[in-house]
Amino acid sequence: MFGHYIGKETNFYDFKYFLVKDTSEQEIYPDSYGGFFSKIAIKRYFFNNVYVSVEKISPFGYIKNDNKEMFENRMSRFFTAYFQSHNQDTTSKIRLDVYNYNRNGEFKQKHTIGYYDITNHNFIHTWK
Amino acid sequence: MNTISQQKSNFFERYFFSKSRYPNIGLIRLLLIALCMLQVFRNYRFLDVFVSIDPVRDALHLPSTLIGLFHLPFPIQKEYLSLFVIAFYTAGFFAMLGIFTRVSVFIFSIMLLYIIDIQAARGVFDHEYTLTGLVLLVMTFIPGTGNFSVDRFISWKRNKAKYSNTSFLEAMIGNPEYIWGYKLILILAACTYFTSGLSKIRWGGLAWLDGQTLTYYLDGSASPFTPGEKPMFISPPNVKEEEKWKDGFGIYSYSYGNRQQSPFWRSTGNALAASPKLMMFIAASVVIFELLGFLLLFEGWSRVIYLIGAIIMHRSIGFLMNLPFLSFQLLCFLLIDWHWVYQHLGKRLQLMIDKLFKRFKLPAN
Repeated sequence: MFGHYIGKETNFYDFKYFLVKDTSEQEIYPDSYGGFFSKIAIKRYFFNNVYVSVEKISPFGYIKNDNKEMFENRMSRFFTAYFQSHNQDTTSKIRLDVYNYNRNGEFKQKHTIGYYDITNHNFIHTWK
Repeated sequence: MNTISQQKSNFFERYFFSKSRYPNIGLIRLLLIALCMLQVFRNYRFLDVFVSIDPVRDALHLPSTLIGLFHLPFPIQKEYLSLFVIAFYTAGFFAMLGIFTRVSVFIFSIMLLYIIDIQAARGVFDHEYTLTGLVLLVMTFIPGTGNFSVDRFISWKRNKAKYSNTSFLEAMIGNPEYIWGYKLILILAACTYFTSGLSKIRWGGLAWLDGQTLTYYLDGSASPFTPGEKPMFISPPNVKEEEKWKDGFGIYSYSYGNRQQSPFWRSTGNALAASPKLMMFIAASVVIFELLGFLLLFEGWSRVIYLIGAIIMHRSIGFLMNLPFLSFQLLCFLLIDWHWVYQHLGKRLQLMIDKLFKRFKLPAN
């Protein structure tokens, strides 16, 4: 634990999910399953098993020769499983953004990673 | 040449196959399982958080290789929860008290590792229970596990010929046993501490020694109880361009939280974190201490001092971050050969201890 270095120049991030319908959007969260660690567990699960680290041989989960197609497949499975409460919102989609902060928790910028199409159960990776 | 080979052979013979009653493996079993059950009950009560969520999510949560070997339904199916809870706590009580000792210790350790595995598959790896689970698993086959048990008590009561002139305490402590089991537990603990130090250098590099990482965890930045955004994912400032393909940033890992709610300990952490030199000293001390984990494999004062140091380290992290790792503390305390310590104290201290415990005359090694 605590092995990765955190210094003054370390960048911090948070993933945020938005239910988008026409011009409106609302922040949503993965379906919880209750319990002591549920909220933090889902974040860690998502990172360890779905998003995975870009660091080579990371202890947090990495995939050798990861690519866009494999990434989209993993994300599709995750969204299908963890956003079941939005299965009925077939006219909406779920957007995934990553927010970037500095060491003091001050917001710097955000990037959109992609969209989950609720009807087709597909995640489309839109970042370049 | 023969002499060197003979010396090596003698060393290993003495190191693993000499006999001793202390530290007493049966006593470690009893107390470690008691604490483990209390902690599981405090955190999870009747284990309902380990049941199946829904088929779609369950399909994503896979067991580890060890648990996979047992081909158990993963996670616990709702209809079997009551049965599992009864089996878990019954096995725990039997293992703690020593009824069908080895069988119940084996069943309890596997059930403990099984629930840890469910939690890990869902995102949270519990470092504390993992070491406890492995130590208990080792206890199923090492000498001395049956000490301090109901099984031994029954045997003592029934088998007059075997236990003639043996007091209750002597029977519970048992005969001297091969110490390889004790050494195996020490090797597990040494690996745990050594790899913990190694991972800081492996993933954080020598920069970890500048104290900034610890400062982050102690100055309130990682506390969910202070105001402001608390993003948990991190990356260094110099991410390579080819690592940014997913999001334009390139995220490396997540950080942990400091869940200490006590205002006193939070302000103590803040005060420590305000001194960069002190944080640098603490960071360097922690890494050096953890890397010296192999000292546990040596006999004598180095092991005793290391174990006391480990208890102090866990207590400090407990105070400052609410991560006390109580079972690590208990295990370290019980791994100290207190009988050896007593023998190596000055005469005066020995007399004081004799007075305190005059009713309990312990048998020799």
